[in-house]
Amino acid sequence: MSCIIIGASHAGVQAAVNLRGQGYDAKITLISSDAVLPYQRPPLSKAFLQDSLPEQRLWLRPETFYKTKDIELLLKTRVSRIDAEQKTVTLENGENLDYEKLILATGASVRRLSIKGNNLKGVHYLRDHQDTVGLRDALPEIQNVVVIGGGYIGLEAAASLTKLGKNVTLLLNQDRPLRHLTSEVVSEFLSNLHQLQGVNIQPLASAQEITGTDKVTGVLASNGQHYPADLVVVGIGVTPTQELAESCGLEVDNGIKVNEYMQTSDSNIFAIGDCVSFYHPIYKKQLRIESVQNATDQSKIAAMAICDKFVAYDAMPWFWSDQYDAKLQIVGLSDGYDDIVVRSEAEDSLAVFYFSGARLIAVDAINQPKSFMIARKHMHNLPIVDKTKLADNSLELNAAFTELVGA
Amino acid sequence: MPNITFILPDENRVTVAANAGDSLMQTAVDNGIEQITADCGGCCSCATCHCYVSEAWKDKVTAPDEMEASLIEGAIENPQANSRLSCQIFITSELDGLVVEIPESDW
Repeated sequence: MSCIIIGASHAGVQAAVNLRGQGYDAKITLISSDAVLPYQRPPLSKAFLQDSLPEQRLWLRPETFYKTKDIELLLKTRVSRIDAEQKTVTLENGENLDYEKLILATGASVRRLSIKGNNLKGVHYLRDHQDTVGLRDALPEIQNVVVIGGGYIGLEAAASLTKLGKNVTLLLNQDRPLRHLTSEVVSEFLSNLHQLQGVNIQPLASAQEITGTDKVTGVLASNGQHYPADLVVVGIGVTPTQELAESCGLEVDNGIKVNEYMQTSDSNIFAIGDCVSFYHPIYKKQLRIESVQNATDQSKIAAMAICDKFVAYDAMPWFWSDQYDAKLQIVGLSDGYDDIVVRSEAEDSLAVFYFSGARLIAVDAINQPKSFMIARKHMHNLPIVDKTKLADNSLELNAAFTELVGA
Repeated sequence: MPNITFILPDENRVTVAANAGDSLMQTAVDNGIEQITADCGGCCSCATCHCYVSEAWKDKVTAPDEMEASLIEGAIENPQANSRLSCQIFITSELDGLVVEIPESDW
């Protein structure tokens, strides 16, 4: 028996840990293309970028942990090929490794700009440890930054760089930040927050060209304006890393397709985390979710299935983001909502409850952790919740959830 | 190095040597105490690192801030006066001998 795990981020490492936790006592090989120990990704655009988290705290586990758990960790190692028939993995150096079970935890890769100037010195992306280290190393020399992209990475980068004293311009393709991820109320809260901190937010200003001859001097946007910059951070999303899966014949469609046990179209190969496309039984749709929660929870399902314990994946998605002193916590998926209820328990805090018909499908909470937690406890069946009670600040939020209909 | 004892949900006790400056959560995770899941990595966002600080030690650890208190209040089915998020307790030499209990996961 042996298990090879390709990819050693949140999903891959947790899969190895869970396999041992489930009593799997055969060989486990964990393969990482990074040169450093497996690390947490969320701090790369937040505390680690701000240099307020020592590198030692970035590691998911200390080096000794892998030895203690008898997990063979191969760093700086890339896989060039999977042979699903022979059940072997070929490394870039030509070495072949046999597996009985294979877990693909290959994650996602940043989408790169294809506009003029995209290769100039001073254009940075944020995905891996080395991206953040490279960005951090460049910061002492620079003052003006243009951040391209109004998703989570763009917003978090803008917040971190502003905190570090840089002048930040944030260019959005859309009319508001997180356009496809949240309601206008939340976008507006975040826009105001960033503006108060000094970020120059430019909606409907997509980057047309990065100017400069050998290094970045600015960004020309679709609104005709040129924004001077010594450095550009690009956060325009990611695509699933699925090439290895595809070339060994696994079914892919915006992610490696898996069943409810995280098994791909080859029953000896599992896939988990950002790289996976799966059917969510609660939301009743095909999804690919980029989050720590999804990576962690799917790793457990795969590890259990490998140990012959078949439990279907149905975890409720949740996410978080920290920007300045604001804590954004999200549970569920708001996509397709037709109504919202806003509950604000204090100044500078709010929770937005998203409904599809009478059912609560998601909650975005900003600086309202208790609302997030109460909702998270009750969200599992997308409950029917009394909207008037939800909005009524004089009532404890728990009251709205005590007499659930259809839960 | 301060010694910390974790009482696991099955009542087994595990004592580990902790590094001063690390959080209690980090200490558990680094030592393979998987009952502390700590999904958010310690940024006080998820309440999956809930523990009970034993009575004798309750006043020797730093008090919870508002964020931690709200998370506990909202997340935990029956929070106790000694309910804490282990990512918000940092190890000092004064905590040598600390005993914490890890309940069954609320999640």
